[in-house]
Amino acid sequence: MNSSAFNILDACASPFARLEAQSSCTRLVALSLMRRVLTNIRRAAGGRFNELAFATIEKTVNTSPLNWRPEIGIAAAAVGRGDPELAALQIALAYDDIESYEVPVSTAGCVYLDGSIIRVSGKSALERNDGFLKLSSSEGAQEFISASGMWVEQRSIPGDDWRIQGLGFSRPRYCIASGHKASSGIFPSVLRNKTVTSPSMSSVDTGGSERVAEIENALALLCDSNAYSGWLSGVVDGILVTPSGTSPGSSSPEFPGLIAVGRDDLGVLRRLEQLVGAACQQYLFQLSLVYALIDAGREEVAYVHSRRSYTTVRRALAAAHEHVNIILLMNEIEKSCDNPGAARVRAERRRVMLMSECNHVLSGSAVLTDEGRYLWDRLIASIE
Amino acid sequence: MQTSGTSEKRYIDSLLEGGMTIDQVKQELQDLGWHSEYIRYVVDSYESGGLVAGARSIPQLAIRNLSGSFVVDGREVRVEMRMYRPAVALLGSFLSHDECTALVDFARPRLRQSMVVLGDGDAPEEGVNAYARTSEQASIKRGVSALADRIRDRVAGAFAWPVSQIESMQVVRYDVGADFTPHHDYFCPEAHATLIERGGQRVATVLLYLNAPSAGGVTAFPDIELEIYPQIGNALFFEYSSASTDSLTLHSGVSITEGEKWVATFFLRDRASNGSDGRKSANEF
Repeated sequence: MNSSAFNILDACASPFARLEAQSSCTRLVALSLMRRVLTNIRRAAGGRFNELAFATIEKTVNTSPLNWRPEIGIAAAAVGRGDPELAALQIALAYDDIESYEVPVSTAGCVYLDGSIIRVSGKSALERNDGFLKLSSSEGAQEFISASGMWVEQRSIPGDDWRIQGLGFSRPRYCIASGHKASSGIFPSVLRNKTVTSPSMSSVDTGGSERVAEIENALALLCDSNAYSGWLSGVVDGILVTPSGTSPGSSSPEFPGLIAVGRDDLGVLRRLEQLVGAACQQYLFQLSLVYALIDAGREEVAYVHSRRSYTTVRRALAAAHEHVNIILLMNEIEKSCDNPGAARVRAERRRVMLMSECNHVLSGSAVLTDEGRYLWDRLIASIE
Repeated sequence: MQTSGTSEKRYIDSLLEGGMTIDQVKQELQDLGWHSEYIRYVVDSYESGGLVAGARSIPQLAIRNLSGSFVVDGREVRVEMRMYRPAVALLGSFLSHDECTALVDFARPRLRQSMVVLGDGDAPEEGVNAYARTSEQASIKRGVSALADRIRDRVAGAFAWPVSQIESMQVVRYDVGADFTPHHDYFCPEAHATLIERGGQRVATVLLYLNAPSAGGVTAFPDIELEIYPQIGNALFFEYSSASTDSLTLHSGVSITEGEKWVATFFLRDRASNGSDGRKSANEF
């Protein structure tokens, strides 16, 4: 492995390994992903684009500071479905430096901007200046204003079950309180769930604003304490809160930088644990775009006594990454919070899961790549 | 059973220090997704002060990835069955038919009445004649038989255990009606303290079936209601790192009703013999 690999693996292992490299690594990975998306858009469009306008997008992508945002994944998914025009519009929407862009969208679809979902079709045009953004298509026109570092839709729909609320942090920037059903263990289908053209019949269930407040309190606790503030903000742009009683999958490759959490009352400490755990998934997703951590086409299965079930090296590595970071987080919190005993319990809980469910699987694994082995060694060393 | 005892103890400590009752601790462990039997085992171990052995090395089947077979000593051995609590494994083709026959032929003229080591401190360490064990056996010490030595090395490889911590091979013959009543293979920690001090505690048994009796002769584990049927060349492994009835390794050799039954046994110890009493050389049991 070269020094670049050590940098990236360290930066994604935990905030204590190589914090100074973290933001540049995140940016590089996001840029790499975006370049791949642009290449695919150009290939799929086959010369149907306004070359000059698209070249502007490419130039902007290469020179702008780029965030790890769901807009990238949505564009990638659109081009993957054979909608390069929609993908190009999505990218243009994501970059504030692009003031105008026009493209014919042959198949109706949705684009995403800071939590808002906009349905477009036909000739679609983006105009942006002086803190004002307008997106028009044959579906109609929607207008946004810039407020607290995000684009906020001017129109307000009474009874809408998709409420976006700014968090007041540089990142994560917003929470979406959604009343849509979410399936346990599955990341919500954001674009399909949103009712765009009319107010939904259902209403946001109670507790949405309390949960957003809980998230804000958790993030505030983080800011007061430690390196995990930067760790979280490096990869989490928005938070989607699903109704009570659901435990959605936290992350999806289709929505980088957007994490989903349930609305149940967890308390600040467990909420923070949940957010950092979701951030860990984002970092592993980033790493997977750069390096294979496990040999392609190979896997190992191991028995977990405590659960009387089986796990794989891939699952164990992802779980270990999360467990170690929660242990480190709680160790930091323990030093400063009002209830250090509670933080210690959370740390010990993760330690026992790490040792009983991951350690024996990963320690002798023959399918970890050099990068995967290095990551595991760094993780386990960080808590010894 | 192998556990991550140290981290489990720390977690339970932290929960109890936080004011939880032991029932609430059990609920917390259940919330982790743990199996109820495992929770019972961990909590019982914690309450008896035994939940500290996370770092202790124990013999275990040296396979990964649920392989259906593995190669040891150049021989492909099949994994027929594996159990985790107690740790039991049945391996097929551990010995060839020729090896089984050769061991029986070697042992037959050396057979003596089997002895048992009793759990009361007054009995001789060499063992005594007992109705509990109506069989004959021959002890084949290291260096006496090249084949027995090679099989001991094979056992060491299969269970990742130092050969210096494996006792001499015992070849045992059961005639019709002969049996071995339910017993544990570990030494009683109190009654056999001197024995343990000199040569370490037994932690696992490897039982090699040298023939397949026509009827009867199963190895039975009453605690878990398991019966292992002798098949020529198979190896039965079971581990009991806790020298107590909690190990669930109570077992018996059930009477055979036809023909004869031949087995060879290796006991694995937690350390090599120190030979301090001069009766045995170092690293020899």
